[in-house]
Amino acid sequence: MRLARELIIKDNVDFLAGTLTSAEAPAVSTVAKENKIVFIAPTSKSTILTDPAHIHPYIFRVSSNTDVEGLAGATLMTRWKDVKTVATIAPDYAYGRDSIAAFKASLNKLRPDIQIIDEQWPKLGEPDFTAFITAQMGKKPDAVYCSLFAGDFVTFTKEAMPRDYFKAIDNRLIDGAEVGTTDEAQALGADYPYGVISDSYDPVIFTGNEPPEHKKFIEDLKAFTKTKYASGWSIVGYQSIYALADGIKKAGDTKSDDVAKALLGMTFDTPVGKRTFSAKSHETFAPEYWGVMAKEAAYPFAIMQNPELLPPATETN
Amino acid sequence: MAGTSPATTNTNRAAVAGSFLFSQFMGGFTTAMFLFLIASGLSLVFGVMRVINFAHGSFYMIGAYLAWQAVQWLHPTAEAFWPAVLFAALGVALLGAVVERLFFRYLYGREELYQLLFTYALVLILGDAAKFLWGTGQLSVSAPPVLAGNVQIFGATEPLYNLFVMAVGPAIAFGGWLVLNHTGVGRLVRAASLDREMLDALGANVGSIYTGMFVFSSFLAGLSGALVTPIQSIVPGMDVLIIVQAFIVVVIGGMGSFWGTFWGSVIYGQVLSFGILIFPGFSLFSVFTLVSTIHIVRPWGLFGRPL
Repeated sequence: MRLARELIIKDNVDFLAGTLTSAEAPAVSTVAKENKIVFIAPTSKSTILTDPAHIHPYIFRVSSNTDVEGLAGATLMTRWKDVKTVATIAPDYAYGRDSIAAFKASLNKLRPDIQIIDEQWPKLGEPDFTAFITAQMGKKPDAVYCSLFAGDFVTFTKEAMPRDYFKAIDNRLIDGAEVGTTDEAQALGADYPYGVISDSYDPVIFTGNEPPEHKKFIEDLKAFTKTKYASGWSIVGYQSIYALADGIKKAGDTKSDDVAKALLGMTFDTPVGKRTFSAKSHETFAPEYWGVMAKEAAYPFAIMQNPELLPPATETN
Repeated sequence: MAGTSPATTNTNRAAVAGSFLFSQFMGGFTTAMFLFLIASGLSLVFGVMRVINFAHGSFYMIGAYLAWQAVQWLHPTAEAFWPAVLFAALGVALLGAVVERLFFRYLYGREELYQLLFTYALVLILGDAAKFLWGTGQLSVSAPPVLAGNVQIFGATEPLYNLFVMAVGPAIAFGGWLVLNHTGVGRLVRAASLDREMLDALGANVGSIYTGMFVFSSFLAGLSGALVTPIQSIVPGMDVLIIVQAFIVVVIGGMGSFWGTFWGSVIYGQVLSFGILIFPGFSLFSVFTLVSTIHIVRPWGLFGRPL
């Protein structure tokens, strides 16, 4: 927040884009509102960012949101016809709470007969998941919906794996917090819980049906970042900046007020298809790629199998 | 289940509940032993030198990063983990020696505020150094192949690696107690903690005792940081998270008491583990309730001396 204020006051910036978690984005959004500066959120998913109480003319979200994620996660959950009981585990802060609430709401609509029998709420950055894991295993769920991400998912997996947690649920875990990225798969390497389902804004490595624009984007990205495998997160930064650039072009100047107006209802191209900022909610309701994370001979880490864009565009808005 | 008699079903249910509670207990004990490894070094430095070392968590984090780094260097070796642990613990011990000789020794006997400011500055510097050297992403080290499996104890699945850590914790506690209470070095260390000036006047080299204690405490921090890598991710910020928990443990047990730290860790682990069962929505609620209660009843901790 202090950094955002400094950028506005000292460096005189006209626009803000960035922040990582749903703990920071709403705070920066307030700064953007006070200073009448367009703020584009690339990764924060909590619905609190743009709900009726917090929306203002300058906030726009390129990332997905928890309602969209919950719908996609619940849709995938119902494909396992014999699942009758589900447990959840999510970090105890805005994103985790919103994510599980949205998943439960969608699941209840799609399959009211499935019961949620356990909810675990470790804190964000929890260093020790042991007690949460044993408590959840004691409830014997058929499947798990999980919103742990980044380092938390790594720690969780490393403690869950030797306890046969994934075996006990037959690998039926869906994680909606982008642990399907190449970044996460590389961090865990051979310790990745192969067989779980997760999502990513960009699977980076497509096992088939790769959009041609995407292929070029990844080649450019690899050349630019000088890495062997590109990051699954770069695309949201790319999309944010291109959306802003399109907004400025449409507005014809760099005044935040004009650009904010231009962004309303604007459609922009991205390497994984068109996105539109809803004029009402300022959301793109971005779908994400989902798939089973499995071993692939050519790579030393888990690769998303047959990435599928979920939920289909018709089901949101 | 149609054919089973109600009696067998009840026995089964009791067995399942029993193994569930047992695994929850073991989970709490794993947490406890990790915390003890970290907190024992913190408690030792406070007990002997009266310095609250906020940077102890940073030493722990550096230990984790060094272990990861050594595993990368030794990569194709199957059992790269063990030399990596040793490398990390020694590396952090060396860092401790440098920091003590160059800076810390000017802080002994000064006001706590100076010590706090200095160790806090060290937290920031080491935190940024780690980000600069190893980036901001999450890193991970695999469990050593010999300890990668698990065993069934009373129907609970226990990872071998956790059992190993559960053995290392008490071993260090017992070893430390033995050295402090039954050796000449231990006598000097205890004397230094009681009256530094008198010991100095009697001709003992207090300066090197202090350096030795600080280096040993850093070694423990590096060791615990390296040992934690197979079950946790290595991320920036792990230093600050752990120092808070280690402080809670030391406060429960009583500042400077070795066994107090041990029992403080055990209590913390079990309260956290069973607290999650009772109040699943508030994982830290039970722990903080415990700390407040203990502080009201015995402000100097369970095993500490009244100040």
